[in-house]
Amino acid sequence: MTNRPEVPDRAAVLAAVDAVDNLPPFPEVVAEVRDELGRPDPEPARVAALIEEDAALAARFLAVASAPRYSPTAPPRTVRQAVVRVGLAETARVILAVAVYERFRRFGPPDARAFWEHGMAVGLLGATLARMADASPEVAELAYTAGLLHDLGELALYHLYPEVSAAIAARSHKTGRPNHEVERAALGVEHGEVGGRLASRWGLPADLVAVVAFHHRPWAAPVDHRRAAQLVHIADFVAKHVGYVRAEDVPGEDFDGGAWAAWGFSLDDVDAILERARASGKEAAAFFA
Amino acid sequence: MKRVPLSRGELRELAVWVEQACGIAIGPDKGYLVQSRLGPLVEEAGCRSYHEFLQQVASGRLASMRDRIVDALTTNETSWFREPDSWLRFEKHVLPLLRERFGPRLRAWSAACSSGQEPYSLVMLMAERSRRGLDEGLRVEVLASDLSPSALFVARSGRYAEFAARRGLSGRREAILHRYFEREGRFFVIRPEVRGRVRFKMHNLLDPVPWVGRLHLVMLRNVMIYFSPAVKEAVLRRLTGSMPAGAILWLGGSETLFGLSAPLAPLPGVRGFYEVKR
Ligand SMILES: C[S@@+](CC[C@H](N)C(=O)[O-])C[C@H]1O[C@@H](n2cnc3c(N)ncnc32)[C@H](O)[C@@H]1O
Ligand SMILES: [Fe+2]
Ligand SMILES: [Fe+2]
Repeated sequence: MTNRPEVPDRAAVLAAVDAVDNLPPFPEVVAEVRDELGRPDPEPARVAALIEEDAALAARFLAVASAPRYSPTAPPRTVRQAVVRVGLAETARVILAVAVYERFRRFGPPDARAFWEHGMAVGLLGATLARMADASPEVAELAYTAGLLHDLGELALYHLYPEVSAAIAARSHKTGRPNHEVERAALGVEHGEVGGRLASRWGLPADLVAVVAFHHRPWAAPVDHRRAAQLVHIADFVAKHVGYVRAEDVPGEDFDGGAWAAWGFSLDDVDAILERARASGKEAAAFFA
Repeated sequence: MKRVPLSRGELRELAVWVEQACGIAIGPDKGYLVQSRLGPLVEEAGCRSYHEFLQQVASGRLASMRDRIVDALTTNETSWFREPDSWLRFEKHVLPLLRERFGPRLRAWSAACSSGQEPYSLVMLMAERSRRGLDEGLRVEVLASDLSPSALFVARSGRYAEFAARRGLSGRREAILHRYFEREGRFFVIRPEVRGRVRFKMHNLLDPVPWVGRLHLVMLRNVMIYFSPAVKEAVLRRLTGSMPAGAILWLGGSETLFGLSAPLAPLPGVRGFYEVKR
């Protein structure tokens, strides 16, 4: 074939991820809000002040807080009011999504909205599955965050190698083989590992890094983080299976049945889980609308 | 990428483990096949040798690999009304025979149903026939099982991406796609009245039959090809134990029971079907 883009190998890809300097850093506000919420007496006013440092972020947050579920009558007039309506814990979740979307939507796959919609659908579903299985709130929180960010590596690959990434997507689409398999065959590394590398470079927590890195091969995740990786793996597969996936991505063909079994789900749960997946997808779509 | 090497000893070790886990036979000539199918799993698991990989799997550290290995060594490949001629023979010769022998309440089991095309095809066939005014009063209960959780998830969900949905439903059968599926974005979804007619269960064919009561029809198609003769016989012994005399076994197009000892005889003149003889 002619004019095929030059394909980097594993070492080159990892080196490029480690050196990438034209990708903005992970938004600081996410950790700042989380720190504020971790204090014994979290203050909506201080959270609002953190959000207001970034005008675009504040505007989007206000828009989210105006949705009927938070503001059934009149929309909030100030960011502080918005924080109160949304609630402190939920504010952290919303800010994470809004901040990464604002910061990264110009990078990564062409259809940024579908990309982040998929991420949020996986995050919401992961958190729901955790609750269904009576996991701790911390696990649900991790599932949400890691779900939202799980395909970070795709974003990095698109940013570093747009043509190669487009060729990989096309090949995956044509053969029906999942993206990460085609990546592994072409580059010797898949977007999970790439994303984990980037997350770790950004100093994100170790559990988050592990889930991102192992979401397509949860069986190989370090034992301490395996269950969380399995959960996001399931959520990713199911979200795709109900259609919340970018147009070029292939609906799941590579489900790890062991993850399903490890979380104690059975065939009788399939209907309920599909239902929640649809709900998560709708909520994610509304969020980025 | 460099392939993880596979020694003859490791191939033997692997073959023993796989046969115990799911009955799949791996001959000494299958080194290349194993490397191409399992190589990626070994690499993904971060193991440097097949020996290390097997040890981890056996010790339970990579417990969930069992299903992945089975998935990699068999294929879940299937389609609607797979091997159409065989479905025609079923309709023309076997169905009337079953009704004559066992009456209007029949139980059928698709015993390696993969992602569900086989049992759903049976339900759709019956629905098509009653549209044509055939089989009055006949009810077929359809049971289905497989070893692969991922295939079963898809089966139970009844959702198929376009490519899978269309396989086997082109041309003359295109109408089926419109009658029994609803389109939902990139998916075709089986209508609830069809979906609700199949009961799915996760089941390994090496284990005791998971259903109580007699089975009049067992579909065991395109799965025994992976088994050694000894495993085939063990599986057949179990299945036929749940089938009354005269019940029918339906095999895949390239499969026969030739040379196997089992209480089954070819159904005269109907290729691919066997009846229980006692
Ligand atoms: C090629 S598919 C055949 C599907 C369908 N019967 C057909 O003919 O289209 C083979 C299926 O057998 C299943 N299988 C393999 N070993 C099995 C075992 N020991 N118990 C149950 N199912 C098994 C695989 O998971 C796979 O879904
Ligand atoms: Fe992914
Ligand atoms: Fe994903």
